[in-house]
Amino acid sequence: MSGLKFKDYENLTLISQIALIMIIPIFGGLFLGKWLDEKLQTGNIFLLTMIILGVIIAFLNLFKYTMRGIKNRDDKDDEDE
Amino acid sequence: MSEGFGPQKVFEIFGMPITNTVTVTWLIMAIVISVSYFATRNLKKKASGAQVITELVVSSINNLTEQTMGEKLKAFSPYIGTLLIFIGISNISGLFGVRPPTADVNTTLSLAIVTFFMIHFFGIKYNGLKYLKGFAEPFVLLLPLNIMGELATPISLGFRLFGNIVGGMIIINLLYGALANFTPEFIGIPLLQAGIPVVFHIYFDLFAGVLQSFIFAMLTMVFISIAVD
Repeated sequence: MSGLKFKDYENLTLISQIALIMIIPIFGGLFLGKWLDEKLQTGNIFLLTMIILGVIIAFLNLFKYTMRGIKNRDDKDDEDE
Repeated sequence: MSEGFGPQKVFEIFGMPITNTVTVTWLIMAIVISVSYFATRNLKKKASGAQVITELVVSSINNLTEQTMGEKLKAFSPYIGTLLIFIGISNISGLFGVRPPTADVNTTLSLAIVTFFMIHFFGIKYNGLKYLKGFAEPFVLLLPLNIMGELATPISLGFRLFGNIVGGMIIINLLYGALANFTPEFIGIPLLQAGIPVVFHIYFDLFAGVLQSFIFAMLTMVFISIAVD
């Protein structure tokens, strides 16, 4: 454990964030779509659209986090050299 | 809100319900404020006694902030320290038999929303319009998706803390209830409740509590420094 630097803790906390940033947009889309459908009496259109939108946002978030992680690793490699 | 494992209403002020998590928050505020007040009286050049501990706490928080956010953003350490100390004491307060304030989604979400506004306020303050333009990258069509994706940050911060603490609290409450049934009545003393929950308290209150307060502070620092960079 003594070999861990602050940057490593930073990455560990970011890893713990990954599951949540994927699931929250999907569930957000689910609830928002359900609410809109009930409000506007539109069957399941909004529910499906919002869930798909949620999945896209989840992937977008995941992509951003991964790029951030790669950047952190590169920075760390630069420091080590 | 007064049934099951939700916060219990204690009394009302002008029709506004005051739950037990709010009263515990006041108690923790009183403790933190009075400790901060008395720890910073009669400071001497050569530290001794309580001043050594105060200096140790302050310098380690300063050090943590500086290491994570860099020299430029060292000024955030009071906020980070407040988060660490408040959330830490709140999570540990479950050990004293009160309901931890962080086991109420109102507390955790308000902390997360403060962090959320800080992230974007300092992002705009340090980078100006360039920061706002970052939401429209790689192309403008992604603007609403980026904004909605950004909303996942406070929700995940708030619900992670809430979920961890309230989950531990529910498990410990169920355990106490179950052990009360298993204790043989002829002994007359709550033998099982005295020993077995200790392990669970150490894990859920001490370990998870301290870890979650650290994670919350760490994520706050990471997000602010990413926005400012």
